[in-house]
Amino acid sequence: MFRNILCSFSRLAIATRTPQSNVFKNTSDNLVKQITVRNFSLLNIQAPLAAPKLLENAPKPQPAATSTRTVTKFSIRKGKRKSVKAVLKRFYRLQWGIWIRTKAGRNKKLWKKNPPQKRRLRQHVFCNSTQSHMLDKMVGPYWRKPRYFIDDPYQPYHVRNEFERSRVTPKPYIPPEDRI
Amino acid sequence: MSNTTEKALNLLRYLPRVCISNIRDNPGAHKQARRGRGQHGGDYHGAGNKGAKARQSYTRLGYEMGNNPFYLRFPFEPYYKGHHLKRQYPPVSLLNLQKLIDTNRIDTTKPIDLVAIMNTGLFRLYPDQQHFGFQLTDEGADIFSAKINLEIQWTSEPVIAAIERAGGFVTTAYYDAQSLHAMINTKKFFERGIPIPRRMMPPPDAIEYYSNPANRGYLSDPEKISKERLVLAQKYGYTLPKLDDQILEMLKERKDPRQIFYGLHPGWVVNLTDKVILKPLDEELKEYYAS
Repeated sequence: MFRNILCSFSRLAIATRTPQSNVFKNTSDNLVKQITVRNFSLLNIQAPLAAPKLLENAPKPQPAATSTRTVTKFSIRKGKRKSVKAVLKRFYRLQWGIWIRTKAGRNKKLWKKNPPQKRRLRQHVFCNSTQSHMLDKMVGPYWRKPRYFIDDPYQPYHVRNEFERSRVTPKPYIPPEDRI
Repeated sequence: MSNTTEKALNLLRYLPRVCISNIRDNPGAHKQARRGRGQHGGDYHGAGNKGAKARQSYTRLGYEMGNNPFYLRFPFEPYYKGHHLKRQYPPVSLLNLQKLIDTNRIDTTKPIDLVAIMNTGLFRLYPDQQHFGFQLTDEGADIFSAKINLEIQWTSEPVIAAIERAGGFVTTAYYDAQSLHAMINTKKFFERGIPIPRRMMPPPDAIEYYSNPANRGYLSDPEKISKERLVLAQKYGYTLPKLDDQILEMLKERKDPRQIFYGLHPGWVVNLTDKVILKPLDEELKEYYAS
């Protein structure tokens, strides 16, 4: 059956070839080829016109190493420690050492959350000491330097003088009240 | 008995008895201490015996064994957006300034600028870290009482009010990184033997601040500034003190927008060894440094 159909196609091709112009001949040839290929993909009717090119058919080189999000302790070029960009996209370091973050799920399914819950989701909160210590190790010294931007919204939070551990300026001396 | 045997027996009579303290060890009974290699005699260098700590095969930082890791758990927030482009102005408070004046680290009979503040040796500035000078903050504004002609890079309204109430003048002025390098360590800069650069104009986003008379910008109209002084005095409820003629000249002294040091113009070379100042004579150079 296959042979019959093929023969009919070839006959059709031969029949059309003689009276038509060159352009038309090419299109009709292509048409026949397309139909046969579409219907009978097993039949390899495309004869190789030229010798196959080695370089074109060769598999393209893929990058051997895939990127990871973990900390690089020694870079290839300078042997320096590198920061984890995923941390810097999500966290912010206050100058007294704590890191702040957003809350998980703050953009998810807001239609079913009540206003107090949505209010809490909008807040930015502290990480705890262990987490801050880990994040400190995941970024380089550049991110631990103090910054003095103009109109910085985090400016009031960079210094925490209320507690002994994070105090930076000496405690003002308040003389005891005179008791009479 | 022969003579020799007798002698030997005689000798034996005076020798000590064979006991545990004077016999030699069996061959191979005593082991030599081994000389270990390394700092502490070939031990484990504080890493213990076996396990992840001995092999230093810790889990990577932040990894939580199948959990969604803490450092990837939260949504993005542009906390650090544009951090490398924004200008920074390290703070100097009015309290600091008053203390510097009281301890004679700053001379108030001359105009005070960044060079005077840097020459106190108490402040650091890093132009390569996007530092563009100092900002004067309002801490100690209530006790500030010095009559000064101050040039600072950034201020706020209460600071301007505090200085002008005391009878002083403030100007906010912009310096580019190259000019700041010259001002931070003046001696080092002059020793390089290069001409004083001309000060660049502020970047487009800072032009507005430095040409605003309310900020006492160095590019604003002096007449508008004197009007703004009155406006601020009314707003904060003080009267501008009358100015003495003796120090008026000092208080009114301002730099040219291209000038970096008081009394020195761009293009001049200061020779510290010969104690001479070299000025450009070429017309082209003069035109370049004046423009």
